[in-house]
Amino acid sequence: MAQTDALEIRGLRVAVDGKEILKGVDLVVPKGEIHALMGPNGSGKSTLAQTLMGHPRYEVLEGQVLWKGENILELSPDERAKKGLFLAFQYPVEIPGVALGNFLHIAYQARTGQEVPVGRFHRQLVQKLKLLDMDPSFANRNLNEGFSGGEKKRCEILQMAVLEPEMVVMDETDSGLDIDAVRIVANAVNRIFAESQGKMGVLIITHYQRILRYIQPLHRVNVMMDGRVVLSDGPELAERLEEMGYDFLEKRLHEQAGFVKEPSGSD
Amino acid sequence: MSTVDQKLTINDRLSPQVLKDGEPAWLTELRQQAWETFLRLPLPSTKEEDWRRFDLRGFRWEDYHLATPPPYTVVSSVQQLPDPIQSQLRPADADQWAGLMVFHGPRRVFSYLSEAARAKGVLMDELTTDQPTDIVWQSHLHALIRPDTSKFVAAHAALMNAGVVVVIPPKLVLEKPLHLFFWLDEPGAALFDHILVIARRDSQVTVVLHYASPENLPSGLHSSGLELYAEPGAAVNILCLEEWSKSLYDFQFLRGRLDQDAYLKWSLANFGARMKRLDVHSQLAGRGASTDMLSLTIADQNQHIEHHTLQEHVKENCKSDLLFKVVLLDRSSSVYRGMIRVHPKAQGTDAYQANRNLLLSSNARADSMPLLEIQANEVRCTHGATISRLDELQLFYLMSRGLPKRLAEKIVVDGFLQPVLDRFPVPIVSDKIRRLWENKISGR
Repeated sequence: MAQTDALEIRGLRVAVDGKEILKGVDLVVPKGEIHALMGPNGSGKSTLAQTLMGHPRYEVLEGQVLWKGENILELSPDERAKKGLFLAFQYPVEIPGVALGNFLHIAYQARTGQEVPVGRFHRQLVQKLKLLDMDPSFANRNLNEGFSGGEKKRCEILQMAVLEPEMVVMDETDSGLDIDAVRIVANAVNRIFAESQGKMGVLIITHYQRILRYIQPLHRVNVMMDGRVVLSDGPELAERLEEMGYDFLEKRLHEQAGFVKEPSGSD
Repeated sequence: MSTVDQKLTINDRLSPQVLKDGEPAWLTELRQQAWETFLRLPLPSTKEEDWRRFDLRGFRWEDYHLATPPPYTVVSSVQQLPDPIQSQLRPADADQWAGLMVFHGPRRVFSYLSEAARAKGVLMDELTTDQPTDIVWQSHLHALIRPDTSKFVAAHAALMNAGVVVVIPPKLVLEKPLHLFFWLDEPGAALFDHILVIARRDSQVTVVLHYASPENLPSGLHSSGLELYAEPGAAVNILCLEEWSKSLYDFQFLRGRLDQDAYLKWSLANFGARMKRLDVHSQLAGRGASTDMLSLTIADQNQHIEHHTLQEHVKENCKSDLLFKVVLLDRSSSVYRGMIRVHPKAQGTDAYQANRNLLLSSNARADSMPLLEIQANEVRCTHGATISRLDELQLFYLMSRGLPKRLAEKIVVDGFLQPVLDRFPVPIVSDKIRRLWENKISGR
């Protein structure tokens, strides 16, 4: 039975350039909760993020992604955005000549279908910039062009704050940030989440535990390995992983009955 | 008059109808010489470096005839002009211009010059035998555009069937622009218009050229020339908006010669033509002269648009700044070939040249060839060319924020072209240019 207020991933298999990366992912993120998805490099976390948003290069072999009960895999990225999905990119893309403020104004109207006067929109934007400790002059800069790594990541969260999504996937937003910036980003996410009053779900994809330390509330931690979600538990799992390391976990999982890792290149 | 005479069939005499009543002997002579040049020169071939990508295999002179005048003569108000012309002239009224001249095919059908401009001695006239126009024509015509440059220039010189001369008297600052509008709505018609602009010492003027045809005009040929003289201290803006149908062959030769401390800005917007060659030269012939050369082109379907530029630094301490931007959709293609030439005397030259291409389709193709020829040693010359594609990743990123594909493409194009348009001199024309590119991007 599909959950009507959740992002529900069922048996999702995805290939990139003919190589299968996701080998049957099952994961549920309800609205009103913050989940983490952790895992070693190459486990398929980013592939999942890009697939959820509809990147054209990712080929879905099997499975479903249900959002509020509807399979969204056939929808284009903009249609998914209009339904409330948002992806904070691991590598935000530079768009020369397009000012951030103008872009967000257009995007907000496209996403919500509402017309908002420029003046009012700009006042709101300035508020959101403050939330992320960003200078108002950012609005006039070209989208991601010449931004530092940290600025790009903050700009992603800014866009999330402005576009008011209902389901957010943050793809390694913490990577490349110093600890102060991690705290600013985490606090902003907490604020946006609190203000949404249960209308937003968040999936934080990360390699490390450190951003999760600042996320309040954190409802669940999922671990991905070799294209599958292999473990799912409360927030304390994040700390345990930090102590044990992924290698240790991998070994433990191998020892468990019923977990058989496919030999690589078995297709 | 036989039909052969009306066609541009290659024979050894001019079509008689191009010889207007009372045309002066010097002009007839000039036509005759140009016609001989035309007959002598071969059609440019792709074996020539300069025409390498301009495939003229589908072009036949026999397909064209000299544009015939419309079935009405001069009207006294814009409201009496045919509807399509009126709608092209909107939203501006005649009095938003210091002068307005409308050509329907080869015929001037409307002409307006404000009292103020007339009183101050501004001359804006058709090619006539009246004094002093005739003298101005005779001493300047084809001095900057030599008929033997190519077969198309020779044809233009021999068969010129519309002409305008503009003279701005010394020290006069004309606040409002002069506007020349050309409308071609006859299939297979050839228009060879020639425009001569002389800005006397310390004068200032903006001239707006607008070429348009019905969108579905099935064929046509346009080969035009503009010669501009900016005398010492003069400042001139030439803005040219071209929106031919996508079936025309278009050859445009624009030449500016600048005297000491003169300034010239080209602002060019190119939308139409099946195949087009735009040839723009700024010749900095007096000390301290400077020029800005701006152009934007948006091509789609199978359009092929070429831009050939020359920044010629003849004298010392001159400045030239060129920015040509090109957006290509579908299977369209473009060429940019730009030369900075610095003569031995031109010390203290400051020359800049940039050609930027944005490709929105994997089937589009842009070629960019910046060329330098520097014979002075104290110069600063920079040039750069970029060809970038709106890539899959940029589109995905923008779409992930809720923008449909077309809108995502549009905002990238807006961001790409707007900085050029911001430097164009006439806001009311800029609005129109922006609407035209928006339609071209989102109307597919």
